[in-house]
Amino acid sequence: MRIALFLLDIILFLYTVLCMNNIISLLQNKRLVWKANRTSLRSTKYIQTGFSEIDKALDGGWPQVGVIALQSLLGVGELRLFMPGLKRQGQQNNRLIVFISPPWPMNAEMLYEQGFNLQNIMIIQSEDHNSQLWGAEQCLRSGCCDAVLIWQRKLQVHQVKRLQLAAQQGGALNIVFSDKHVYQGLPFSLSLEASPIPQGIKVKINKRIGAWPLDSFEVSMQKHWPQLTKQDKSDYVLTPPLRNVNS
Amino acid sequence: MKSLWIYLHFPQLQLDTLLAQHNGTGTMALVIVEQPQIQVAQLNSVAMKTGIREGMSLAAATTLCQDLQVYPYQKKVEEDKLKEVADKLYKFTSDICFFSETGLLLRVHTMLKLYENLETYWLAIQHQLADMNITYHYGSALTPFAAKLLASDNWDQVTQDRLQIQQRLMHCSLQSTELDNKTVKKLNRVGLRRLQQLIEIPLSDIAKRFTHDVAEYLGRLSGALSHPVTFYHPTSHFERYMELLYEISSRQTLIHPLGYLLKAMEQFLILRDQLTIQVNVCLYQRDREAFDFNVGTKQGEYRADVWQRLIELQLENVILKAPVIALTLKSTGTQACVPETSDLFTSKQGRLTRLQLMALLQAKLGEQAVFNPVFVNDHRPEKASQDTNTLQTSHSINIGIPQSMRPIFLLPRPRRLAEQVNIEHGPERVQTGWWDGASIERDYFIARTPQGQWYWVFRTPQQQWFLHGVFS
Repeated sequence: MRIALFLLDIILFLYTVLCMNNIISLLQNKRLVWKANRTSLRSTKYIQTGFSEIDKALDGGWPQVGVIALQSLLGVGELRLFMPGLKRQGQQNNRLIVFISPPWPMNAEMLYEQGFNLQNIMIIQSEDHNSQLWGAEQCLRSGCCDAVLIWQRKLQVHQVKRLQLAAQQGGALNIVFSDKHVYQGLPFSLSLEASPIPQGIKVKINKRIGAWPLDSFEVSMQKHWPQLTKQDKSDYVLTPPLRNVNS
Repeated sequence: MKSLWIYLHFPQLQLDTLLAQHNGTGTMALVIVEQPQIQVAQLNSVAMKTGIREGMSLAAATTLCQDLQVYPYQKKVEEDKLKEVADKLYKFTSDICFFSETGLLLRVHTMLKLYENLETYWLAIQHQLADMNITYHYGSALTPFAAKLLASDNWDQVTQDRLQIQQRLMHCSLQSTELDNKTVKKLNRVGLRRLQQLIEIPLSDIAKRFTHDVAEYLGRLSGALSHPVTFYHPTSHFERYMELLYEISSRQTLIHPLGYLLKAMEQFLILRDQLTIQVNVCLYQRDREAFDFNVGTKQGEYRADVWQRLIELQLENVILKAPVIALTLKSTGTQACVPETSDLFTSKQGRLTRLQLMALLQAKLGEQAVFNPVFVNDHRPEKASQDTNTLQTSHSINIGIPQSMRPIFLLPRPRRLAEQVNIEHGPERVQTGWWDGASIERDYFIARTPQGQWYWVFRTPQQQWFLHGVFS
């Protein structure tokens, strides 16, 4: 009887030791254990965003490699957030910037006006959701693209993982725009949410690899696009159909 | 040493082609049947074992072997194969002549200086022919006709020894010469059976007694008369036809025979240090019209595996309505290979160039799906921004600094404004285009919706409001 109890003790002890090991590896797998020797892995390069507020919040700028998700209403200036950074990147590397199935046709005049080299811009127009993702993956992996911008409402974990992997292979940045719902639990490098304010745009960092999420902060567009910030002057309200406007 | 010619005689080119393209046919009895007489013209060793012989009628052959694979004789296949052989040999010997439908004539004496002696020259040629797995007979002589005569007689020797050649020539029967049947019969009737007997008669007597052709043939054979031949120049494009042993109806299976052709094309291009921009694949379907498609890459490529990948992508969109029985691969538009100017030290993980990427995307998504924007010198916004299908390397435009803010998205056509917006900037009047019938007169404004979206709207002289772009 006593021997049996003793044996049971040993088994219990072994079990707890094993469980401990399991728990640690589980935590490690979930990246909940911070390890000092892994910090060197995070020494990724950054793209200066051109907005001092974002540079400060992200400790340097957009990651040069990875997948960024941005959820916002279309047309509030979400693309403009990336413009100065992408332009600088394009001037340095002379690689392609790819737009895959943008919601409306791109305006070459604006890109030219902003100082982009139009030869470095490629547009892929495809109606098929899978083809869009396939194209994005090929572009990211090719090694001749700086950034691939896609507009997607539905993404699954494995699709984001594939994009991540392709981005790593080709050293490219993937930016995913969504107007509908916020992506949660998807393995993005950086997940943002943007909403308009009169002076520019308000950005909230939902998720960021290797750092804590941040509360929302305001980004002023006054420097880059003074015409696209709200003037303090009194509003000229227009309600169509209207015959005359005092301008 | 005045002159020396080698003639290569290929008795079963079509059979050799079939066997080379399909390695796993060692156990099948194959025969190739000539059309009008319907008799066996070429047969493989398996068929030979069952007792089938050349010249047998097809009925007799099928009774000897039950599962006999029968192919009709196709002149084009043999012609193509002969060209392929010539292409291959052209690297080693410069003067090749298509002397007949089944043979090549090589001018040797001009090459001997390069190869030092006949043995090394012949070794090089033999080596190439062995690579191709092809049946051939050969003979060397001082004149083209003599070489051909010896080769068709299966002499299979190469020598410069004039006496030896002469001796062997004398033994040849008149049947195997170039003389036509009627003349040979005539000669036989007067008791002339061997070439020796004919040559002993003086030429002038022959010309008197027989036709002029006989005298001329003998003159050319002996070298008394000159025999001009035209030499072969290799083609600049690759084109090859391939007959399939089995009908193929699945696209995945089709890749394998295509791979064989692509490998051949790769060889062809490597030898010339060339790239091809476009290949044309033609699929011949049973009871249907042949179907062909082009696959292109702007960069130019020679590697078989790259082309195979592009063709695979294109094939995904192809629906085969009937099984494929044969294919042709053609390279259209070759260009000289220019080495890539990539920096050794700035290593990028990916390996594709932008033109390769574009080719890949276009192969899968279609030509029109991939483009890049171009800015054209026009004040009408919808005309200023256009698309092109090529990543151009030249500067298409050079306009001064544009005047004011333009939106990043431009609607394909202006839409009636249906929301409440606040005007933030403007107006900017655009009034132009009266010369080409698409004149516009608009006052553009930058506006903001209560939700915070930035729109580019315009007002027509009729006071109608349109949405034309979105600042994103």
